[in-house]
Amino acid sequence: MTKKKAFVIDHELLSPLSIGKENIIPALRENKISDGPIEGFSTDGLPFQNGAEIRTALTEYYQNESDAIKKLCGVDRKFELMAATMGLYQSRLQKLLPNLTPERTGVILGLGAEHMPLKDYESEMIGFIEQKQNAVCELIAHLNSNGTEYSHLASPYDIYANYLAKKFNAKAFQHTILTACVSSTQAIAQAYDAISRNEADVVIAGGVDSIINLVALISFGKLGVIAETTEDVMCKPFDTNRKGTTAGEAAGLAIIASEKFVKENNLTPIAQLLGYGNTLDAFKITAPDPSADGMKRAIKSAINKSEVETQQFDYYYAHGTGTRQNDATELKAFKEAFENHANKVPISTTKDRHGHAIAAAGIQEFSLLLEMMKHDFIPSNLNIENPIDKDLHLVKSNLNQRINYALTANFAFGGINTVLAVKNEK
Amino acid sequence: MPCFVKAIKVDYSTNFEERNVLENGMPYTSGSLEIDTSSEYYPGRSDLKIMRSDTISAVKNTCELLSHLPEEKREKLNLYVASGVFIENVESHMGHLLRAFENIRDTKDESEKLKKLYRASPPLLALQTLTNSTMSFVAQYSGVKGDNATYGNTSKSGFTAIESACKKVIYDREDSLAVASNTAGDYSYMVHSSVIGAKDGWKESASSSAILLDSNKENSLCEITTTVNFENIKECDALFISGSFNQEDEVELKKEFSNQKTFSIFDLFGNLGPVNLFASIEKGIELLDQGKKSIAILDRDIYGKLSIIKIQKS
Repeated sequence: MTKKKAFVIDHELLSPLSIGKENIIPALRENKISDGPIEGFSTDGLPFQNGAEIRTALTEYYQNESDAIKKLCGVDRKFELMAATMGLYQSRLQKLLPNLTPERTGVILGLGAEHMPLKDYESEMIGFIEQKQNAVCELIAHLNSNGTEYSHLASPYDIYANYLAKKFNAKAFQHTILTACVSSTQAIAQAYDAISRNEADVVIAGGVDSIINLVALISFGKLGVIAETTEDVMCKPFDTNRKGTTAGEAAGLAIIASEKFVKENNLTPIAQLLGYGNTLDAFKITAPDPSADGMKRAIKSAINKSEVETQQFDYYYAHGTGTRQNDATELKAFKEAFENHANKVPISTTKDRHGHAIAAAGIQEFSLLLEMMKHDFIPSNLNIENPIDKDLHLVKSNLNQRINYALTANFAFGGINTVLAVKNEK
Repeated sequence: MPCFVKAIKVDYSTNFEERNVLENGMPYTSGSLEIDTSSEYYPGRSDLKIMRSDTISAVKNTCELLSHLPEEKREKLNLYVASGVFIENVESHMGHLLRAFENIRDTKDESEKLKKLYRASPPLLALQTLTNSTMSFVAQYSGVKGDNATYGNTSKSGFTAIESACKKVIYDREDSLAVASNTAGDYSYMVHSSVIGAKDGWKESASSSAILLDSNKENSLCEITTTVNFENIKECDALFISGSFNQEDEVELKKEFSNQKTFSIFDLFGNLGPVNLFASIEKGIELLDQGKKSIAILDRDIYGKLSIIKIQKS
């Protein structure tokens, strides 16, 4: 079977760096860093006071939603980010909708783990702890007493994809992917599969996550992956003095379409998805395989499936978290995969600018990449002083340079490695 | 290109108890797994600290299923996982946090409160509730290294995992595994009853399953098709149904298909979440072995979405 081409025709992003895609490049050019004191809740007393938080009030973006959705947005930050992203996309959605065939439109969404906002209900919690045997269950029952599809706490994860499917009138499929930091990268990869296998004309691929809440911050902090608020610069990917990542949050969507759909609707694609690599380390849950075998196989597989020569890739958009283990392993994998060409390819990460949005990292960075391609721009590794590898081209100053072919990589806890190959269609 | 089921394993709950999780709530029946700790595939002690019982069961099932395959073949397998909720036992997963909240109730100073909360919080909480935990542990213990995804967390995800594995066989001719694990328990009950409301006769149980799929008909258990529409159900010799959480819904579901010979595992095990379809496939294969030619397998998730699979003699 001949594979069909998969094009990106639109995208939208809600990020600490930018509310809406049009603000991405100005933020990158001015080297905006979103990292700062968390305002959403008190962090006084924790080792981490900072995070890359979306500090703009978002209610105006979903003010036309139903009361149930608005109520959910008030307690579920992930849902709020998703609804606000749809608000940003609303005017373009109205133009797109008449062209969509519901049975040929699908939704694939990457999501992060639920972190119940227990601190928000501290007084109720304490009340239940004192009076009831199962305080958490009693709290959930108390808050969800109306029993609607959009409950307050502990809803099945499918509600997010179901919500998007309703917005896009997408009836072909609605998938929810839960693979931590590669969730939304895999969503884009699977959108490529669905289009290239001719299972859909259009796939809405994206993701949403936030670890800017107390339980998540404590959980990730205890694992040692969040940089404590003691450094002048917190997140220093690819630097010998890197101490961890910055907690982040984001939501985004990419509209992936078939060549037939693009032609029939006289659209100009932004980029083409050429393929992807997606592998498992099969090593251990807490750390990447230090041999870098899994990451290398993902990079090589993305290159092979793209049918583009290794030397034609002119940008590697790294996962680059700023954690000790990820960054060193990633560069080792890159070097081995790119062999003789490794030192010629510009490499950068942007997590030093917008933090780590975990399950939404993939869509956030994909959205940024699309804008970089459109504007011939490669951002630098902002906080790099002493690169961990001096042979590689770890970009130190922003470059005004066209990207023809790029790889964008994400790697997840538990050893999951997903790399997308993307062609600039400008 | 057809897709064949090469092997399947399902672990069911053996211990059932009536639980009354809410003071003013309805009782429900919960099933838990009894895992053979002497199995050669039983995980190591350090991993057990962050594994749910359904994850342990999925690891054991998959390793047993693949034990005959050489390492180089296992490495190339693709792995698609469907997972239920990620909190097995509210008390054991969240107990530390609860106690932390209890400890701060008399503390007035906000900063001191958070310090205490941080100190008392369990260090492994993020790993204990990691959404891809089953997939990563299955990979770690079985050596599977190929394409992958974890889907969640209603029963629909079971279909998506099987469908993804089938497509990989059909389109790319690559052998694939579909794995499902269902935690069940109090948290699952709260999640699902929040959507449809608690009702009499509620029953769900922990389970896990693994299915090996490939394109080679030889020594296969059956052929499997995921591109099945509602009309195809009538052409099949029997129908397995699943998706109910309580007796009332089960009766309703059976009524919808009263003109067909239907089977259901609900009375035995209750709802198995993402494992529903896997369990029906296992039971359906038994019917094929008894002479039936084709079996339709249908699941209705908590939002009413239908998934249909067909199995037939190879």
